[in-house]
Amino acid sequence: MKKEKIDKKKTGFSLLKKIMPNNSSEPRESLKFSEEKLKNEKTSLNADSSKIKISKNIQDNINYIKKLIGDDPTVKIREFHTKADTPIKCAAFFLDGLSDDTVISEQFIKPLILSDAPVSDNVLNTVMSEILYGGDCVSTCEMADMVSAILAGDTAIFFDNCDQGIVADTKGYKLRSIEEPQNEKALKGPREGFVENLMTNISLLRRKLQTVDFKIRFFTFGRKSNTKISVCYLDSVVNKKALALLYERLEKIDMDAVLDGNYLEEFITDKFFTSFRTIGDTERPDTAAAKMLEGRIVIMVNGSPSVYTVPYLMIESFQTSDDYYANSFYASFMRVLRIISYFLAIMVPGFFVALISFHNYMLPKELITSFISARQGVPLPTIVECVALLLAFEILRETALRVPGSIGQPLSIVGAIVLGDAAISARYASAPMLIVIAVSCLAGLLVQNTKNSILFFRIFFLVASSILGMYGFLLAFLVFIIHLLSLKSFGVDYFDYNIFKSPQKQKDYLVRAPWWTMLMFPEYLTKAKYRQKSGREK
Amino acid sequence: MKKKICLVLILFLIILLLCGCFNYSDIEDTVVVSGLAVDMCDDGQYKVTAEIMSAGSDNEVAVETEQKSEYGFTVFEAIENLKNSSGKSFNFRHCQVIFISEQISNDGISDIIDFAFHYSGFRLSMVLTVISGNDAASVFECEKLLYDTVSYGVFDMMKQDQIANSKCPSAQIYMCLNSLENKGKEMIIPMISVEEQEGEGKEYRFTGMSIYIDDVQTGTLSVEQSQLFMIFMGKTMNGELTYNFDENYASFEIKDLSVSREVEENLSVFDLNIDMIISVRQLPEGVDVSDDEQRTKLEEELSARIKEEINDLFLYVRDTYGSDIFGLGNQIYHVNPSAWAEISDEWKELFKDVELNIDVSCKINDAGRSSKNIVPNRR
Repeated sequence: MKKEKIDKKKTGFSLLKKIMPNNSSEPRESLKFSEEKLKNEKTSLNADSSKIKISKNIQDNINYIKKLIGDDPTVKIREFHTKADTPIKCAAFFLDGLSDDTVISEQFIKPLILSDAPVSDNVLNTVMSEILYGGDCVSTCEMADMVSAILAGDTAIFFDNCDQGIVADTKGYKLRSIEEPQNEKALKGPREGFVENLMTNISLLRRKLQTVDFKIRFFTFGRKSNTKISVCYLDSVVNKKALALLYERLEKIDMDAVLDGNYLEEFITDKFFTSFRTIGDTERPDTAAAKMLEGRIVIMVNGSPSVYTVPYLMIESFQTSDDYYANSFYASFMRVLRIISYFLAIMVPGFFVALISFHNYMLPKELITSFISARQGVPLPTIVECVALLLAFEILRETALRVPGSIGQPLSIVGAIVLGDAAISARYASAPMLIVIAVSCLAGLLVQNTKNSILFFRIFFLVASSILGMYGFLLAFLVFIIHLLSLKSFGVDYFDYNIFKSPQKQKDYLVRAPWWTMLMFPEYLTKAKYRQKSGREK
Repeated sequence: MKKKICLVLILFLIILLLCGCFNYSDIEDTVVVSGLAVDMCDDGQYKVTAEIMSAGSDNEVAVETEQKSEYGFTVFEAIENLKNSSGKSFNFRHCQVIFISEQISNDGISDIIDFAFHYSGFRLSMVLTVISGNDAASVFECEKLLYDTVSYGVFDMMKQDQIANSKCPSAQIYMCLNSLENKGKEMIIPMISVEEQEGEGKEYRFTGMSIYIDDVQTGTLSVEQSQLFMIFMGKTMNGELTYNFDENYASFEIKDLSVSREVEENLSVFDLNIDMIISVRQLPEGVDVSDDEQRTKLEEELSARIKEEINDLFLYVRDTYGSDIFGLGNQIYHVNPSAWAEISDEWKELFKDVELNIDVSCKINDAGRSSKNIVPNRR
């Protein structure tokens, strides 16, 4: 307890912490990570509460299903029996369009029809071990599981005189092919990207990490959507505290539907009222695998090609997969460039407004005459002009994202002509301001991962600078730094200033050191020590 | 969370109400003054003329200049009248030169220096310049010579001269103020004249420096004397020396200069040692500097000439003007502050009895025709 108090005084943020919400970054005592808990956890944290069991009378089961979803024309029912003298009556339910008809008929219905297994007390055992060809089938006594399976594209098979049913994996819906993600293009390296199917994504990840250390836990969220999610990690390197925190937060979720990972993200993120993302996402399997290798946890959501990684640090916003596939000097240069671009994006408009509105005596004499000349006849005050141009740029950017591809190019030309040439000719804007906004926005486009914080802090710096000039700019910078230092991501500091004290911690931070120098894991992420045993001679 | 939002809003409101936009001004509402000229009118009023930069009227001309004059019984009053004459705010932060008429220079310039020091809109790095022979405002009618304004052209000319020729001394406001408050060194201010060229308009030219006792001009030095003064003070970074050897002119370039001064115990005799490394740029006819004997002879002759000229300069200033522009009083202060405290009040009289022992040593480093050193390993 005493040690905590001393730490708070050292950081000097005690006032801020008093007024900040009580967002604990430590797991509760009762939920501290333990092997026992993991073994005993349920597969479905939010399972449907239906308690109906499967009846031994097959007709009851058929009637129940028909009553529940029988009016759906896509629900198919196939009643059949084995060819024994005392045949086993069977009924298979599946959804047209979601299930693969060939697999159903070849692997499940045909073997059953051709089988001469008689009715017995141990029907299920007989069917599972002697008759069915299909590889993935599980038995269940819960009607809810059977209904969920039908709705997911599996086939539910009921048997007469048996209070259990079989759920057979017969999903056969059309999926998008694996292709390079549009938002994370790389110059070198793999061109694979995650798709909407969970199992396919898991297989993509498994191919990268073929180790017994690879652990997966499945959960189901959404009362209406029953969306399956998986939590993947490497057992020997994972940040155990982060894992326990993740489970604790996932337990609290109760939604009607989860259609994308962002639904969950807003529940489990450390601090909601911040423009910085404390949960990362990626559409590249190689990136996800690399993050797992450093002790992070990957969360996949069925139906979404984006996977989420926790903990997420600020420096990850400036890392790309290209950094690790290119030469370390080039990679280091590009990383530093991205960091500089980020600060340019958020600070240049505010700095410029502060300079020309409050401190124009600091401008060189050649520049001041140029600015005066450019601003002649512009009716708007500097700050209004800046905000208007920023708004115009954001509208243009968003429109370019949403419009169909065929209109995109003419739109960009119109935008350039309107914003660039016509606005200056008509004296709605001045050329220096346009250049400043262009530099800021282009720099912001270089670091897409930080677009939330750029959007907010750019305006924040601008407003502060327009009120108090350079004082306001510096005050805004202080707020920015303090807020950054206060953030955590699943127990790990979002921006750890201590990394500047240690060369070891710098190896994959501001620069990307050569692979043969990175012998150890990042200690701020995981307790595991060495990732490789030897380097090379320099 | 609510507390945090309330706190932020309250802080924002406080900032906005108490000091929001405290110094906001759009840049186009600013008038940039590049130079000021101060004249004295017959009725005793100061006439302050400002050279104002304004945006060009067409795309080919980025900056246009105009002059605006106002009057006042003090410089401050004139400046305020100037500011009030326009709806825009005057920005003096880019004003680099203050031109003073010779009349004001003869009467005393402490008012101008004092005003410039106390006025918050001025930078202390502004340069003072005396216009000889004409009104100070006439300098703004000169050709701009590829500069945006005449003032910037004059400023750059003086700055470039200090680097290239080292003839023009620097007289920034803080230096002048130090000289006024300091009895050990008198003020010097560069001098410019405005000359009308036939068919070419007016041009400004550096014509030497003004010497002061306290704040009143007592005399002037020519350009050549200014150069010797800069050598005396050890402030020469570069420069050319041209001498006549048996009706043949030769030019030398100063590459390096080292000056040391010492005061003897009697505090009235000073020793000045000047070591110069020079390069020959135009040889005297018939002299071969690669020959040791001839070179040594040339070096000795140069040393003797420079010594004589510097000695003449010192005696001229001492005897004619009695102004310690060389800072010998400061030298005494640095060596013996208590002695200086006793004599500082009478230094103006005591200076007239000061003697100077000069020792000049010139070494020729290289000749113009070759980049190689004649004498190896010479610095």
